[in-house]
Amino acid sequence: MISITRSIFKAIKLLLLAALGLAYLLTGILSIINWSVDLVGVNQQFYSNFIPRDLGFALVALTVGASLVASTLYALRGNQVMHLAAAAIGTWLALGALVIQAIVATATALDSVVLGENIDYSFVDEQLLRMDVILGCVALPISVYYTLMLREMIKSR
Amino acid sequence: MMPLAYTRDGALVRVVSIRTGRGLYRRLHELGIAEGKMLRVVKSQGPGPVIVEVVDSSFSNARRKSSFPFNYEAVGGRLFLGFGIAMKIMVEEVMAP
Amino acid sequence: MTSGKGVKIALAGIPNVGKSLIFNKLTGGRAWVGNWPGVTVEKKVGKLRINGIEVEVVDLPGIYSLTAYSVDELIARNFITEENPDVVVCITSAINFERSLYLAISLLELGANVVLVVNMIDLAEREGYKINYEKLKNLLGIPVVPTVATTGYGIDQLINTIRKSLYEKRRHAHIVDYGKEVEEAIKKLEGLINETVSELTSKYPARWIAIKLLEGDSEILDKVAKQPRGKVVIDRVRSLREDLEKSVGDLESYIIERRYEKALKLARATMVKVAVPKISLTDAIDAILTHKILGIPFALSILYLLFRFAFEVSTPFVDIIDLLVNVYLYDIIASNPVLPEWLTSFLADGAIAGVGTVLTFLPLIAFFFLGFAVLEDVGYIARIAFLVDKLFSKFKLPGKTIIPLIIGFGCNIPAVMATRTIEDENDRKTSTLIAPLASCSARLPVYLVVGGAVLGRSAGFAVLSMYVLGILLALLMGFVFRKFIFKGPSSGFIMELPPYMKPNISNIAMKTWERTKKFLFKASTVIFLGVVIVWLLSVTGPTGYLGSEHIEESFAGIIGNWLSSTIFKPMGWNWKVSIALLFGFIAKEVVVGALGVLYGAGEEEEAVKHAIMEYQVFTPITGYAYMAFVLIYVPCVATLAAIRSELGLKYTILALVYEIILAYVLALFIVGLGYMLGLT
Repeated sequence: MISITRSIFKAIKLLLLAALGLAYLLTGILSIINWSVDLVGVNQQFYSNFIPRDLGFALVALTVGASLVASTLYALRGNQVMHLAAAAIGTWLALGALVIQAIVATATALDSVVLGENIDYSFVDEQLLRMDVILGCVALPISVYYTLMLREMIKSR
Repeated sequence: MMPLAYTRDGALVRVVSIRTGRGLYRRLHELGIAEGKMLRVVKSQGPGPVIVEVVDSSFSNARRKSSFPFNYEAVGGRLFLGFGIAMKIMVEEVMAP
Repeated sequence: MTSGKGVKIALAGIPNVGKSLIFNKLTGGRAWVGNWPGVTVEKKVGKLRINGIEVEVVDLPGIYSLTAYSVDELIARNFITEENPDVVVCITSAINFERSLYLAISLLELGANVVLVVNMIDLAEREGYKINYEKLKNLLGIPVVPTVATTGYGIDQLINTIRKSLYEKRRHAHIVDYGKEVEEAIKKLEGLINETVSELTSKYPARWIAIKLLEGDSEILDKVAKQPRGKVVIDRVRSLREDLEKSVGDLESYIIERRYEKALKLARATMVKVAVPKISLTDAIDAILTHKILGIPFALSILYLLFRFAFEVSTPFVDIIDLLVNVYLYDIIASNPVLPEWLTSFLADGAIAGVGTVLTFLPLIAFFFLGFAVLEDVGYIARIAFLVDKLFSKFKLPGKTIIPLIIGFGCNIPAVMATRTIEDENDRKTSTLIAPLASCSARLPVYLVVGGAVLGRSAGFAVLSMYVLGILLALLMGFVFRKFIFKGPSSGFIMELPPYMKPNISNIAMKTWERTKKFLFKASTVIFLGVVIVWLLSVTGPTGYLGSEHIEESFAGIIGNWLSSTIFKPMGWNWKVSIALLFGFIAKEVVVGALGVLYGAGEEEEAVKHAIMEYQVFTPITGYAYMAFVLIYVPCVATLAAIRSELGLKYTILALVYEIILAYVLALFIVGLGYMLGLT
């Protein structure tokens, strides 16, 4: 009975991880599509208010996504070390992107003050309602979890 | 026997010969890499640059273990050897990864 | 204490032991940075006050040993023997104990008065072991001070120990036992040395000379040979070596091996296991960050975040400076009724405009170096060098070369200086010459303005392509230089990969300030001079002073016209943009401002962009060619000055010439390609 619930928990954890990973991958791919479509001049955009058309943004999203997906694969293959490492470090990068965007948002706000411009709702929309921020917030608790797990594994074993 | 550059992640190797100039030879020796010494390959871009640990099997005062189930202890920090140098150090594999 | 001369101490240690931090803690930031005479190795000197006495603290270069094979090591050992520091503080790291002790032993053999510091004991404890300092002290016969430099623990005790050691000098040359036969030989040589070349023994211990001679140390052999009775010694050495090598094999290797074993023995005897962690955090992190597949995407992502941090977070500060200098200050000066017109023009259009533009870059550069210093302090930069080593080796360059190139994205001047850390002579010279190809932050406004004006949607991509192009060209030119000019096999390179560590604020602040300072001082002095010249050229003409309204008739205008009708003709660049290029020679930051002035659009980037669009100055192709030209054409004057101090005049001229030619050829190529593809 207990072992079944444990397995269910494990499965749920992995599903969450994989889901987050896929979310990041999707974000990255859409960003690239938006970017190349915009380059060519066609007017079709996918969720462009949430996903900036920026190659660097796409790169970060794809890297995080790949790392998290790899982590689930490692878990399935039984490599606990790599599973925890990939999850922890992947989410650290996600948090890094979140933090940088938060700092940039603050700086932009400050800049508007300096230039004497008004800050209105469009600021929140532009600066904060973005996938790196949204997914980053989702990644935060997951990151804490896996980092603690990693620390545990290092101390004992 | 093969150049250090061609080893695989996690292998334990013994240095057979070092074909560099005097200065570099000495520098390597002072860092713990010389004929007969054992190295653990931490990361290899095979073929390419390598990250190695100098292992000292007679180090009985157990310290940081070299991550894998060997009874060897690492001496000093990890060394990153560029592709060029890794090609000039010939080693033989003692234990597979 | 040495009478007459001041009290002097030296800090020595292998790389990554925390020596710079300890230096900082001892000297309280009162340090002066220069060069060791005759070489391009940095010398840091500071002052420490003990009991009312001013002690000079010299930071020796980070070295693993005291051989004659490396400039850094020679500097260190010559400093100890020529300048006789009263104390040599040897800083060891508890987590890299054997290698640090090897250096300590070498220092003791040299007869230095050593105080041993064991730093990073907190990290050792975290890895599960402690060090028995008392035992170490007894085994070596010298004072031992444990420290945690990042918190300051042990520093007071260190200062106290230094003070005591100033009065109690020790000289222990006999640390290592080299085995019966070699020791006999050493003894014989010692006697002979004392007899025949005693002038040298006032500087070096006789035993040390004997050991070095047997090792085959080229500097010592040379010094002994130059002595009047030196030949006797040299001959004896030769015969002794022959005999010894019959029984122990290569003598130099044998000696090194014994010394190394001594270091191992000392370490084993004094390190006590407390716990055994199986995997370290560093291993786990490296498993991902140096992963064959994930490693590079992570590196690029991290660099991307670094760039965002530097460029976007600095914006408000840039705007603040811009407002203060280019608007308020400019207005005050420009509208003053008191000064003569030419002086007003000089101050407003020359000094303020020129220097002001450069100052607006300060926040950007400071933030970039801040971010870089964090990555460096954590230990990640070394991993980047590892990741690119394979790619770089295809161009005959060491992976370490990427470090100056990354720094160069902020500013080329500290990038050129960062090439000093590359040991191989040929590799280093090559890196210095290709460092300016990294697209520094000063070039970005040109890309944004020109690209934004004529490339519309593809502007962002074009800007990215400039950065990529810079790196590609750096690799290509690096290959060319390495193959044809700085020939010779690379001595390759070895780098110790330190474990990942928590970033330390004072370290980071120190490194950021050092690099930003270089930009600030060099840039403001050299650029100020250049700005004066540029201003002069643009307000005076063959008929005398013209004022700032008649640039076309000034010398600058004449030159611009000549340029645009001759060599820049195929690119279709008019005289205004040509003269802006000339101004860019002083500092690339000035190009956009110059364009603004020439088109009467002021300095604001948006305005300049509109002016360029309105006057149809560029076509997409000629605009892109212009961007590429600005990327490559010449390092700014301040960077040239830095190259000069590293490589000398000859190579500085080479840098100048090759870049102009490369830029011109590439611009022509772009225009030609565009023409052929019908993209005019």
